[in-house]
Amino acid sequence: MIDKGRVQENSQKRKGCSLLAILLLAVSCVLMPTIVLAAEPPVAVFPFQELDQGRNDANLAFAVDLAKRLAETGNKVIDSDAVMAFMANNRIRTVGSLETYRVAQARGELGADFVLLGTVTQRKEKPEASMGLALDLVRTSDARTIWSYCTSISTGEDRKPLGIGEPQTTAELEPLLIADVVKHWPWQRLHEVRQVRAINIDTASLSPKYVKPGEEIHAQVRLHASWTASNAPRVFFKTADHLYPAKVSADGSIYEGSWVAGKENGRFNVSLVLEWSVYGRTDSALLGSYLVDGTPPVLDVELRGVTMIDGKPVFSRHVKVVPHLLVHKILSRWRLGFYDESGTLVGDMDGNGVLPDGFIWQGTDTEGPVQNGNYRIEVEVWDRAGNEAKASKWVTLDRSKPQVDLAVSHTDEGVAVGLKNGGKIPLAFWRMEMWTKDGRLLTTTNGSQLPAKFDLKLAESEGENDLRGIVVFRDVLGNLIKKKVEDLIPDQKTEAKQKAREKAEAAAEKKKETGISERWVDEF
Amino acid sequence: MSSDWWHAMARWGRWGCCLGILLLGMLGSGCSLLPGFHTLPYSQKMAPLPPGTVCQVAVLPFVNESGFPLAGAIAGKVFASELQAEGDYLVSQEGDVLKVYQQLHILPAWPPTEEQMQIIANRLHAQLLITGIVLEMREDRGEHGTVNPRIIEEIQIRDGRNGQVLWTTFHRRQGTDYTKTMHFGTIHTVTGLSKQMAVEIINLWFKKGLAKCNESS
Repeated sequence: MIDKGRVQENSQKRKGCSLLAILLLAVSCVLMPTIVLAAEPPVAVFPFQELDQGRNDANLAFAVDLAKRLAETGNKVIDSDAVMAFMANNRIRTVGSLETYRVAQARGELGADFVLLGTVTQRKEKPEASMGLALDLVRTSDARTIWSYCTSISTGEDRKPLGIGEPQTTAELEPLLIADVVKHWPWQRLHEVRQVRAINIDTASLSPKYVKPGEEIHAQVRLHASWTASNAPRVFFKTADHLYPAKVSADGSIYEGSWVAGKENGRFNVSLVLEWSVYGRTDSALLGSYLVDGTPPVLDVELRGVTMIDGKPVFSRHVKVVPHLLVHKILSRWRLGFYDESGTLVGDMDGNGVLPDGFIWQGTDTEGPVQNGNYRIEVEVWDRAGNEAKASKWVTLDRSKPQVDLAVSHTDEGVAVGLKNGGKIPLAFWRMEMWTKDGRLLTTTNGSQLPAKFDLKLAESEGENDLRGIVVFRDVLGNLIKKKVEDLIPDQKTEAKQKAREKAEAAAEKKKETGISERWVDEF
Repeated sequence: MSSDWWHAMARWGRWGCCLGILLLGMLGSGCSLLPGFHTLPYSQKMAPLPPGTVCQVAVLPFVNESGFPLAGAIAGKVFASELQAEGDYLVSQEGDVLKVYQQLHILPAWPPTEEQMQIIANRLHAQLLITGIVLEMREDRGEHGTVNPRIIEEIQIRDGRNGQVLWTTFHRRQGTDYTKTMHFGTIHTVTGLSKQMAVEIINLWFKKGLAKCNESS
């Protein structure tokens, strides 16, 4: 199919020949296309990438088979050993693709006008044998892909009547794929030539990426190309319409430059500019960009879980520290610190990146709970350019228990009990139950407001020493206290202590009487 | 048997014949009657293409979210190949693309940021960037021990100047969608299905206004 045009072309040139001679020539050209196509430009077939096992697997055998077949059909194919030597010499470790620079190298070192790169996209034996292939024919003069071809085949797609001669394995599919490639080989496009591009970057770095106004930025570029002194270009780094000359290394491949960021905030692109003033030619390549930021973050801190007492935030169990970035900004790091009234650091923590939504402090340091008192909670943040912002709040830690003041006075019918809060923290709840020594309930009451007073009726034989009961106070911070009434009445207090002592002595005596030996009895 | 019966049979025979032709036609047209076949690929324009002739195109590595090993590499390779073949674009060398990825410390499996895309496009001198996500790639069992591949993918055309999405196209197919009659036309390989889907997407782009590169050499 490919050779028909050529056959016709040749036959037209041979004017005066007999019809038989033309026919014979046509037949000979069809049967031996190598005669006509021998002058084709050289093609280097590189080992194929094999995606069946992993991204970096190579398939040399298939590439060699295709190269042989291409050679048989009239292409000038560069020896596979030379291609392998080229890859080894230039430390090319990847297959299936080449950089522009390597393609140009293949032209210089292998003498290849084209390189054929391929990827075996799939290769499976079961449940049905299948193969896929993607090819790129790259012209080495300008590193342009002039032909791409993708094909696949499977046993299911190549059914034969009665199954006779049907391929069963990938080994049997390979020749079919190769034949398909040869059938679609781009004979007509093999003579097109173009020029190569000027800048081939090997590595490029720009640091830092985020700066404050007035800070220095450093750029470094390694190029594949090098020039002789006579035709070397002037090299600059260009940013914000300013050109900064680049220093070149001794070997002529690395260009470095530094400059100071301006006062204006914003993102600035950096390009490498090569200028050949003799030829009036300039070429440039974007290296990256940096952000100038002189605006610090705006931060506020909110304390949650605290109670405002006398205008101060107070907590007893834990306080939630919620930092707010008032203007959204990406942060590089943050720090949270706790300081006592003398400014001594009690504890801190820090991290990188996103500021957490909140922190919970339970009033502890590394050694355990800290003392009651005033503490400063400080949050510091830094943006990517290093601009700092901090916000702090004072908080009071108060774990002291509520103080119960109970007063008993005599009345005509019994006693009057007065109850009041002896501490500074307001109460959230209180409860009192009182009964007599004989178990007669006198009162059960509760509330949230104090002071309070109760008149209790007592029998004539009963006095204030016969009062029993319990008082529970819980303040607004959650601190709780439970007290026995007898402990709150001074006379009873001493009596209760006496009784407790007697009870303990009686228990000790009883223990001795049970005859427990302090010595171990071996025979037991 | 009465003559009426024969007339009725003949009439039914004609109807049956018509029905048979219709069924054969349906079989012939095959998948064209399947739901969603004509509505896909679905393309949405987010912004206009850059003015002027577009020739320089870079296909970035496709992101694989399918769980199928190297699905992104397969679909990306095939798409780049078809884009080159169908539109005659100056498609950037994959080696150059991977080199810039390496320079920017981007893993091929990860999508670059818009800022990184801008740099990639500039270094490769690409007017357009093609990015893609393979959402599903499977090889289901078909009839008679064959494979029925299934692919769902989303391909974007991005502006090389800023990395922003200009057009986005969603496509979903399986090998049996292309069955014509019996087993004929069925696609049995993920590579073949990727190629077919790539051709459909690229042709849709051409219909919607993407011009082929006029440069012939």
